[in-house]
Amino acid sequence: MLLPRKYPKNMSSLNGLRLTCEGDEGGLTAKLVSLQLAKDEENEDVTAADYEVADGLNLGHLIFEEFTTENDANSRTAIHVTQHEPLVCKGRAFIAGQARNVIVFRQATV
Amino acid sequence: MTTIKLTLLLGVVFLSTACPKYQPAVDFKNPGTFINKLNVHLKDAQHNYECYRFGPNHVDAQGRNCTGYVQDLAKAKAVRNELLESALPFIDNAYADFVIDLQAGRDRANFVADVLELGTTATVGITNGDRPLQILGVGLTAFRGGRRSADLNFFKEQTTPVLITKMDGNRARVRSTILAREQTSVDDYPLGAAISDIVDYYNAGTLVRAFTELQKDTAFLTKQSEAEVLVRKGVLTPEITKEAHDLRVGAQDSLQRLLRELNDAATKDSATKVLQNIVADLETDKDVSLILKKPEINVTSHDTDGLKLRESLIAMRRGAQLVNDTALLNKIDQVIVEHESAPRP
Repeated sequence: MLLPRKYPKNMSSLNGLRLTCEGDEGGLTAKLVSLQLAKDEENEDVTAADYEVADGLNLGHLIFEEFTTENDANSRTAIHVTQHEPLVCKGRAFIAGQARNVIVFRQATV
Repeated sequence: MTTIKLTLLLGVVFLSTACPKYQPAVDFKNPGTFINKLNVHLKDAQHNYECYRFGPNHVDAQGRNCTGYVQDLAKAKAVRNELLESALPFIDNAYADFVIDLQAGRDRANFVADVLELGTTATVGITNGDRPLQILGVGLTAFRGGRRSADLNFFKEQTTPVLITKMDGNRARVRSTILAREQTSVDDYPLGAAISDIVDYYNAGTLVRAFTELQKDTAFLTKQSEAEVLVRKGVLTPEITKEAHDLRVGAQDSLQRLLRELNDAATKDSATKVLQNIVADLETDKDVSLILKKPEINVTSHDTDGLKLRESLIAMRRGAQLVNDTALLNKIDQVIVEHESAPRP
């Protein structure tokens, strides 16, 4: 089951977005699966996030990074995979009013 | 006049193409070089790999039998990794030469072409007579067109640093994959797959792969632009505070630990008791007790199924989170954290 969420354009920072997504993962007991730019019904810019119901995962422990190109994203993914931090999603989000490329990994389970 | 035209045409073609190479040259068949020794080493390594993997009754791909070997998958893995690591430096070496040639060759060709173009432009400024000016003008246009065509067709209008960066990135990605796969067993990552990765590593450092990857980048950016038209309904979730975040994640971690305890026969009963206490505590709150009685939640502190108690708490939290009912969530999460972290009898 997919749970749609939307966040305001004026998210203070990438860390603010991380905390909010982690809070949603924890509150919904669901895993983040996508982040993308969107509009709301009033045609205002928002960040759309989708969550998928999941239990038994290390929910609420994410790593957010900004990437420049697809190549950069691939390199980051390769590095994190070697540290047992799987890719969660790659997309775009509004940070302080600006659209940014964001890539998310899940922290390794201790 | 025909000679001038012909010279002009050939000059444009020669100076603008710079004869590009598309891939590094790795000659594994060149006799008398270290590569040849490597080939022998690879054959031996493959023999050792197959014998350690399949044991003394195996006959390898070259027809040699494995008498005297004892099946040992750890040794087979070590041989496989050694084989991989000894082949990759040759590709690195060829790639380094290729990049230097690519950079130097294109720089030189562009420099000569720039001098020629600037020289011709200057000549136009100091030449008298309509006919010579016309010839120089046509020649200059043709030359610029030829350079543009070469950039477009041979290098897809990409600058050399962009192509090299792309190839470096492609190679780094494949290298990381190889390093990660080296940790896996020979069943999960057999020698055939390792050799396939060596080929992939080589291909990652070619211009053709760089072009296709750059094309993918463009496709990705287009997709991102298209994604902007998505219209998202529902409530807007404001940025969470640090305190609320910690409480949310803390409660989730508590529920996660309780699930582990419920799945363990030794701790199942105490975990169920904790969940009953959580629900009992929530029942004392007038607002929350109404929610507990809703058909989709339907739980009481007298329930003895630990998994059901936990599922009900999750459903209640999820419902509150979806409508951003922070007050209710905080109430539930505080009770969960307090009871789960309290010492157990």
